[in-house]
Amino acid sequence: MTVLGGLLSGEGPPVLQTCRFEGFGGELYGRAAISHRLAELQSLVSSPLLDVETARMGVWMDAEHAVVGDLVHGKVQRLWLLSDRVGLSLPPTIDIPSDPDMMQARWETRFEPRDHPELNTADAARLLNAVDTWPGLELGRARPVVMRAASAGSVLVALLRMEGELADGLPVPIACNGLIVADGNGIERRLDGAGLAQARLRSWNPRL
Amino acid sequence: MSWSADSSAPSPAGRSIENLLADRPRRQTLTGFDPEYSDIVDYIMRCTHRIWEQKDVGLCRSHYGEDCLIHTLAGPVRGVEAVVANTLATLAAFPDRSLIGEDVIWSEDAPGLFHTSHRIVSLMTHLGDDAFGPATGRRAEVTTIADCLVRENRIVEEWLVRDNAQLVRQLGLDPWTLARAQAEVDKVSDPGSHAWRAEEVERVRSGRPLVAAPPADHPATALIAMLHSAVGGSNLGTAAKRLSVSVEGRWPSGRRWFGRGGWVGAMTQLTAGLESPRLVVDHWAASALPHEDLAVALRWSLAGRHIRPGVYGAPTGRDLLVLGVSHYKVRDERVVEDVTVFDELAMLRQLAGGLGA
Repeated sequence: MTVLGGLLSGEGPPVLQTCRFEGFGGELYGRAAISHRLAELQSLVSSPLLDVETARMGVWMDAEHAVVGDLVHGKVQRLWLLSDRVGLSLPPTIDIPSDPDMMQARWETRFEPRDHPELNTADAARLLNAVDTWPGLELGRARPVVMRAASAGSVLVALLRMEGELADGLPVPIACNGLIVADGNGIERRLDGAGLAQARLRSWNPRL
Repeated sequence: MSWSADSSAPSPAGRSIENLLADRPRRQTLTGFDPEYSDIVDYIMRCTHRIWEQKDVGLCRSHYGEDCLIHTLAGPVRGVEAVVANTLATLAAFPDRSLIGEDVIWSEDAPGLFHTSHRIVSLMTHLGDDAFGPATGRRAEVTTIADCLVRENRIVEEWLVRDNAQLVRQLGLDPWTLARAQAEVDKVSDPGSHAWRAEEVERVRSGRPLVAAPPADHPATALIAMLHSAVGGSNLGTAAKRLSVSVEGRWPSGRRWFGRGGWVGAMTQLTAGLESPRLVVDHWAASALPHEDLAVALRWSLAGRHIRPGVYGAPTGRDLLVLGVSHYKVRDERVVEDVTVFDELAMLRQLAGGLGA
């Protein structure tokens, strides 16, 4: 059984006390709060469509939920849930005016294979192609950041931070997480709908 | 000072609390330390747990020097009895405070003299009245970094940075209102009590760090150059090349950023309102992380005159001093994560005319 598979079936060891969780449109920190939410999630998930892991990363996915974990010696250091279910709110934040591109050419995916030691060389091009051809993206001027990427056997998995702008109205920066899974059957792309929904509700605040 | 992938005092990163608190025999030379501590990381993690979570606050008397000096951006505190009193006061307001140690980046700066940079996330509930005001009953998550100089079981000097503005905001309070109230108190106190701040501003302006630069092959060297290139040199794009293109940052007051542009934005937001900002790095250390990553800790001081509008509002014309600590996760010689902490409540207090500003 994988670490995430065990966690979602209620059989695995608890997450690390330093674990940070992003999902349900918000964030949680620490073993107690995350375990409480995972117990709720256990009742929502169905049979996995994907359950893979490497030494550093685990990805578990059913039809409506995708869970990504940072693993350290088989323990969960960080968790991301991608789903449409909103149940948390974002902490207070100061927004940072910034230029994600630092060049005239826009919308380049921020990705360097050397940051991802578990990613096969051949999968790097496959990943970039999968990001660049993301259809129907709900963000304007999307600037993806590849946060995690790995090759788990024949399966390519990548967690993305999808930075962009509101597709309608004022061009306010917003962001949410995304996931790409590619294997011999094709490419599966998921956006964290809950994170996107909460991001849309925030007002831009670059001041203390 | 030296750096090595010394496994005699492994990082707490990736280790469960059960593993961290398990008894184990001494595995690092610690002259004069209590026998229950296996290594310098264990000393920091375990004594923090015993003092704060097990509430044996009196252990401060055997773990701090009698005349210890604690530096914060709100002013220095001297003596172990002040440490005891402040710890008790915090526990009176936040009785359930947990101190979750994320990393301890350490160095042995001289034989038997250790420096530790301890990053802590505290989860706590504001249940008692304190300097912030009446109890709010609200829960908060706040990041602190405590840099300690330790010799023979005692912390002899400490530099403490806490994300106090974010704490205040989570309690439902307005940082500016609180900072202005603190500043009014400061204005009627003995001016000499704030002399430290003017001395620190002058030290930073004249470019006098507390330590010499690391050797060229130390992992901190490139990151110190990065900060100097960004702040003193204003060459932010060049500086950012020390970062991965997908670097992730967590900065005070809930700031979260990705990529080199995000870091440039964060640095610019902090410094663009200041006239001739200067930064000195006052300590550096590095230690190993799981998966062959590397942790680098830099403690820095920043000073400049607040002359332009920006994140801190309209210009005040006052000198601003910042004490910050950055913890970097480095992979393949580039930063992939940046956790930086500074106390913006104490910064607002200065901009409101407090602390002698």
